Amino acid sequence: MITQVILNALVQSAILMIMALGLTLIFGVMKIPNLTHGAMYAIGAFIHYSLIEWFEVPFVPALFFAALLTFGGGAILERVFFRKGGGSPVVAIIAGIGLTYVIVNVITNVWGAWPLRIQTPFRHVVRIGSGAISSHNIVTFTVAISIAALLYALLKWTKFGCAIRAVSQDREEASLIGVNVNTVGLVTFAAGTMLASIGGMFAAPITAASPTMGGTAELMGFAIIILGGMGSLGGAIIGAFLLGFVDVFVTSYISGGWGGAVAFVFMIVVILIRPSGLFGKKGRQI
Amino acid sequence: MAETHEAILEIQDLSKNFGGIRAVDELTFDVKEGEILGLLGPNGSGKTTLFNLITGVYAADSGRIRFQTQDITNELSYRIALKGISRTFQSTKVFHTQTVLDNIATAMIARARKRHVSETRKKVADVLDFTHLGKAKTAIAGDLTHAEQRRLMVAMALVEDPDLLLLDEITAGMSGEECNEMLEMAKRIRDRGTTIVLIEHNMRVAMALSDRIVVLNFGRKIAEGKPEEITTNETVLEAYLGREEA
Amino acid sequence: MDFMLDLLKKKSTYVFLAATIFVVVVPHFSSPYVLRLMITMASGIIAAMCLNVVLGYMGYPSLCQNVFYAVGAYTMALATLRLGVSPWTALILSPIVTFIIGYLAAIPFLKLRSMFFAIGTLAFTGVVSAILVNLPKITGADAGLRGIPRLVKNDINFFYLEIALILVILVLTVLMSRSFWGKILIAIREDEDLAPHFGINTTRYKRMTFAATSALTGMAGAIFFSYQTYISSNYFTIGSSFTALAVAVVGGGGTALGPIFGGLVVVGAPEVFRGMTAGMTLWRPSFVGAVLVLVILLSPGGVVGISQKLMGYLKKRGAN
Repeated sequence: MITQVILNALVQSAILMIMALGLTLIFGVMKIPNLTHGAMYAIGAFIHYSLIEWFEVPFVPALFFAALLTFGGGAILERVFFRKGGGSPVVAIIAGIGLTYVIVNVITNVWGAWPLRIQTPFRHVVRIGSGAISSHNIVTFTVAISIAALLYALLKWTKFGCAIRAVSQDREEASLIGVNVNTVGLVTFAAGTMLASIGGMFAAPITAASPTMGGTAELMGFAIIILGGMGSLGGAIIGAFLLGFVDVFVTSYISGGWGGAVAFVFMIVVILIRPSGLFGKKGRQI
Repeated sequence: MAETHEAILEIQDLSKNFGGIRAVDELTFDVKEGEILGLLGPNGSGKTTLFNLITGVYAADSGRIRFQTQDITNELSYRIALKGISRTFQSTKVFHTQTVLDNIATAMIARARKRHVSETRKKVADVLDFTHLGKAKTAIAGDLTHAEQRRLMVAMALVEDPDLLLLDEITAGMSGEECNEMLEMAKRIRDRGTTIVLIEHNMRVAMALSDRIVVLNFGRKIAEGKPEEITTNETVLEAYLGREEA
Repeated sequence: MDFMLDLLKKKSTYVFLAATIFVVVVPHFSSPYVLRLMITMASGIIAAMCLNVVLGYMGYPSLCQNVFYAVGAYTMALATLRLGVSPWTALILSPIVTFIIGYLAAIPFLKLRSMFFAIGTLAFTGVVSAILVNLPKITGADAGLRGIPRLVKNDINFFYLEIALILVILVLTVLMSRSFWGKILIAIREDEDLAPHFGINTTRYKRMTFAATSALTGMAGAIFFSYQTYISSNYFTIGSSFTALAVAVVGGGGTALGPIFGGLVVVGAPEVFRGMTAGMTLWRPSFVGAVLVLVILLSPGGVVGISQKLMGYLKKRGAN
C-alpha cells in the first residue's frame, strides 16, 4: 500500500514542481505573485486537448505546440498587463484575479464546464513492489526532473540565464550594467506561464480537465514557493516534494478532501513564522 | 534654563546582532536631561540601530534601556512614543499624500482625544510656527521641498512635547543655509526643555550643537566627551580615516 | 427656511431623492428575476463596503471576505435548522460569531503585509472551503442545507432590509472616515511603520477594523441565505470568492460611496447587455474580470476616481 502512495506522491510532486518552478521564475524576476498561473495551467490542458481532438495532432507534438502557444500567450499578457513590474504587488494581484476570471470563463464557454477526459498514449502500467505506476506518470516525472535540470543549466551556464539571475537580485543594478530588463521580464514571464501550462497538460490525463482545475494548483504553487523561499528554485523543488507528499499522504491515509487544506495550513504557518515582509524588523508587534 | 544632571536615558550593555554581525556591542552611556548629545561614527557603526532599539523597532538581544528610570528595553513602539520619546528618520518619513495639517493631526491622534479641541488647535499652530511651516499648512506633504519635508518630520515629532527627541541625520540633503536654520531650530528645541540625541554626519553642525559627544565604531563606544576632546581623539580619527580607506 | 433652500440648491439632494425613489418604487415593478438581481447586488455591495474599509482605507488586500460571508450564512442556517432559533435571533448571532472568528483570524494574518497578506488570506479561503466541503454532517457540504427560514416573507422586504443595512454601513463609514479612526486607518495604509512612533496602537485598530467589517459581512451573508433558504458549500469555493473584491476595486477604494457604484457596474452592467444578446450571462465573469483589470490598471480610483477626474476636467473646461 505504501509503495503505491509513494508512487502517487512522486507524480503529484512532479506536477507541482513544474508549477512551482514557473511561479518562482516569475516571482524572482518580476517580484510579483502571478495570479494567472492557475488559469494558464488550465488553458494549457485545453489547448493541448484541442490540438489532439480537433486537429488530430498526436499527443507529444501537440504538447510542444501547445507549450509554444502558451509561451506566446504569456508574452502577450506580460507586455499588456504586467509590464509595470516595479509597481505595487496589489495591482498585479488584482489584475491577475481579473484575468483569471476572464480566462476561466472563456474556457468554460468554449469547452464546457464538464470535466474532459484526455487520453494519453502512455498507457502501459508498470508494477513496482506492491504498487503500480502508469507510463504516463513515469514520463511526467521524467519531464519534471528534466525541466528542473534544464532550468538549472540554463541559469548557470547561459548568458541569458545570467541576465535572469542579475535581474532577480537587483533590477536597477542589472539595467545599469546593460541588461535589457524588459526583455528578461517578458521571456521569464512567458517561460513561467509555459511551465504552468505544461503542468496542466500532464495533469489532465490523470485528473481530467475542467475550467477551474487551476485554482487549487495555483494556491499549492504559492504554498510551495513560500515554503521553499520565494525566488529560490532549489527551494521550489524541495517544497514541491514536501507538499506533494503531505498532500498525497493526507489524502490517502486520512481523508480525500483534506490534502489541499493541510498544505494551505502548512503554508499559513510558514508565512507567519518566517519573517518575510518584515525584513529587519525584529520587535514584537503585538 | 535649569540644567539638572540626571540621566534621562540610560543605555546599559546594550547588544544587538543581525545574523553574524554585531550591530550594537555592549553599548553603555547616559544621556543627561536637557543636553544635546551628538552620536557620531562612520557608516554602519550602529547609530540608527541604536535609535531603532530605543524606539522599540528592534528587540535587544541583551542589555537594558532606561528612560526616566523606567525600563523600556523591550517595550512596544507605540507605548515608548506615549512615554515621551520622539524621533525623526534618516529618510524623510512623512505621510506624503496627506496635507501638512493632516500629517500633524495624525501625529497627535493618540493623545488628542483626551484634550479639548482648542488646546489641540493651539499646539498645531505653535508647532507650525516653530518649524516655519505656517504658510504651507494646506499643502500636500509630497509637494513640499526637501527641507520643508524634513521640518515637517520635526514638527510631527515635536507636537506632543516629547521629553526626548532623537534626530537621525536631520540635515541630510540640506544646503548650507538650510543646515543653519535646522541648527538654530534644534537649539530652540533644547531651550524649550527637550533633551536631544542627534546622529549627524555634518561635522560642523554636530560640533556646533552638541554639549557632549559619543562616538561609535562597529557598534562599540570608542569615545565619549566634549566636542573639543573628540576632535583630537586618536581612536576616533583612526576610525573615520580607516573606514575611508577601506 | 434658509436651510431648506440651500438643500434644494445642492445637486446631491436631487441625486439622493432620485436614489430613494428608485429604491422604494422600482422593486414593486420588477420581475422576480430583476428583484433577485437587485437583492444579490445589494448583498454584494454590503460585502464590498466592508472590504472597502479594510482594503481602501486600511490598505490591506483581503482575499478572504468570502469566508466571513460564509460564516454568517452558515450561522444563520445552522442556528435555525439545528438549534431551532428564530431567524431574527440567528441574524443577531451571525455578526457575533463572525466577529469572533474575524478577530481570531486577524491575530495571525494581520502580521503579514501586502502580497503575503493577500496570499495568506487566499489560503485561508482555501482551508475554510475545504472544511465546508468535508464536513457534510455539519454543513451539508455541496448537497447543502435546505429550508432556512426567511426573515421576512416578501422578496421586496428582503431588498429593503439590505438597503437599510447599506445605509447603516454608509453612515458608519462616513463617520469613521471623518473621525480619528479614519485618520488612523489612513496612517496605517500610508506608512504602517511610522504610525506607532506617534503613539498609535496600530495592532489594536487593525484587529478591530478587520473583525468589525467581518461581522457586518457575516450579517450580509446571513440575510442573503435566509432569502435564498438554501445554502451549499459550492458557493464558497476559491474561485467564487472575488465578487466583493471586484465591486470594491471597481467602485473606487477608500471612498464611502465607491462600492455602491462598483456594485452597479459589476452586477448591473452585464445585465443591461443581457437584453441584447441572449448569451450574455455566459460571459458575465469575463465582463467582471475585464472591468476589474481595466480599472486597476488604468484608474485605480475606480468609478469614483474616474468621475472625480471627469468633474475636475469639466470644471476646467467651464472656466475657460
